[in-house]
Amino acid sequence: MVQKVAKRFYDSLVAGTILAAQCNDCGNWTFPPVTACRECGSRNIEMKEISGEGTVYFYSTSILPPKKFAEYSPYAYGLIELKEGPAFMTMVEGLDASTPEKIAEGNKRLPLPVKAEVIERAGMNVVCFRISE
Amino acid sequence: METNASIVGVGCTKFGNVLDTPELQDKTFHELIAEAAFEAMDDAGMTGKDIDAFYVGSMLSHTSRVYSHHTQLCDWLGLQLKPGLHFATACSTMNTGIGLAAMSSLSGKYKNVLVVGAETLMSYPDDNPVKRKAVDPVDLWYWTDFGVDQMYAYHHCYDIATAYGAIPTMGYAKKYGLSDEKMDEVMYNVHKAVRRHSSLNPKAFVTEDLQESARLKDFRDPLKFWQSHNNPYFAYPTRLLSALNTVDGAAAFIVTRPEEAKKYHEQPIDIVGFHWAVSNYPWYGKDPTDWAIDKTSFANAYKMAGVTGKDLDYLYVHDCMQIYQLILPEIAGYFEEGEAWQAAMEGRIMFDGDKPLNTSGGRHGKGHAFGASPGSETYEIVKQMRGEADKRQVKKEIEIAAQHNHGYGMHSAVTIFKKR
Ligand SMILES: [Zn+2]
Repeated sequence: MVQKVAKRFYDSLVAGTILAAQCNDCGNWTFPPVTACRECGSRNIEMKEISGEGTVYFYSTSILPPKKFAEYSPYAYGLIELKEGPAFMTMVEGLDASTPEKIAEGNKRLPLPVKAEVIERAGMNVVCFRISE
Repeated sequence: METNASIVGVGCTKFGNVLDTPELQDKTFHELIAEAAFEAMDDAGMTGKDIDAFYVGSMLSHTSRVYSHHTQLCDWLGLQLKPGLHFATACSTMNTGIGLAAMSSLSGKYKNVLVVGAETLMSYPDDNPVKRKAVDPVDLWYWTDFGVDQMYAYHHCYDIATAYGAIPTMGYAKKYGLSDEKMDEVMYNVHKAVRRHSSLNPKAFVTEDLQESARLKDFRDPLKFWQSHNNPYFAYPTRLLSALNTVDGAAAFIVTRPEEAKKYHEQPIDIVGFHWAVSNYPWYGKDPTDWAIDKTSFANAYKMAGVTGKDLDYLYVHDCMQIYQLILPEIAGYFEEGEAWQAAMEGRIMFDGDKPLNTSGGRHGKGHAFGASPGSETYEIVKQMRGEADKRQVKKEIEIAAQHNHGYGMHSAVTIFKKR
């Protein structure tokens, strides 16, 4: 039997808890969680809360966002590496994506530490990151 | 180096828009496929009777309005009662088809395999097979994005232009210490090559070169045109002209056993290596130019062929975003690390340069018909290797060539070709 992973992940966000899967065989973290370890393929994994700490390396914004997120445009979409290891991309609060000039300036300040938080976007609870300082 | 199978016929339609491109106007998805397949069959001197199996590659059923492509197409292709199937790896589809066909042929079960691919992205038949409705680009990308991680990534504020264009471009500039201004000039030079190639390719979507586009907007200096409001940022620092153009089109090729290839074509192109690798999104980490999937597919295709990147006389890489014309040739070992941007500045990647790249105009100039695009690139490689590329013929003899493609979400396919 496969345990429910996606529903548990999204349901936990309601309480502000962000889950990943840690591998009991190799110790690596998989984020967001899936049904096997992304590093070694083992099914011997456990859902655990992440620290929420990470680093943002780059960000920008598109003039043609998906229609689901058009109401938030322009928004900073950034490349984050979690303290636990995995890379993830999502919205980053605290970075200016309003003009190409601001994006150019903003990226010169990176990398910067970020902290994960749960926000509501397009009717769903999702994980975003906020500049820590 | 062992020959696994050989390509003895290729075909490709004009890439454009069936709503208004004269060569394509009013043709259906089925007719685009027939046009490409018949050109390949004629090229190989084959009829439907000679084809032992056919594989139809296509990605978006939302716009083709077709499932079971093989059953619907068999009579349009003269292939009734033959083994047929539909397959897809998104925008690498037909490159994957080379390996599939080679394995079929090598096994001896199906000796002559027709691989044909088509995509109609600009319009769809609106409950009437000969009456089409234009596709809204927002809808097109909504359907296309079904190909990227739908469990998590898409719903986390997904932004394709940033992930595929902007961040790899910033990563490349950072890796080699290029200022934003310098990187923009590099991308301008890549685009100059794209447009020179497409302007010399009668089957390309964009037929005017960059100088001509600039002149039409009253710019004497094409660099000033590049930097103007005519070419806004799609996602900073990636400009609109560095991104793909979606189009309609079809392509085809025929694979046979190497010992029988000369029966069908005097200059067979041998398939000596191939490999595929997949990764979920994102396919890179904090170094956005370090792509494990492509390192894997190139390394294994080279190993199978017994060659290295230094042995390549010609390379075609996936370029839905033109930054890939810099990142991928370095991963492929066609260039040393940090050499590709300088080569682009010096015009070395043009068809008449010493390191020719993507000579049919890539996915901006020639246009991007998702699953069919790799077939049009195989068409270009085969034509170049045979010496049939006309005005954009690579000057040097091409003994060994490689084709790389990405399939959305992310799939990496590499095929190595050798001239007899
Ligand atoms: Zn593991």
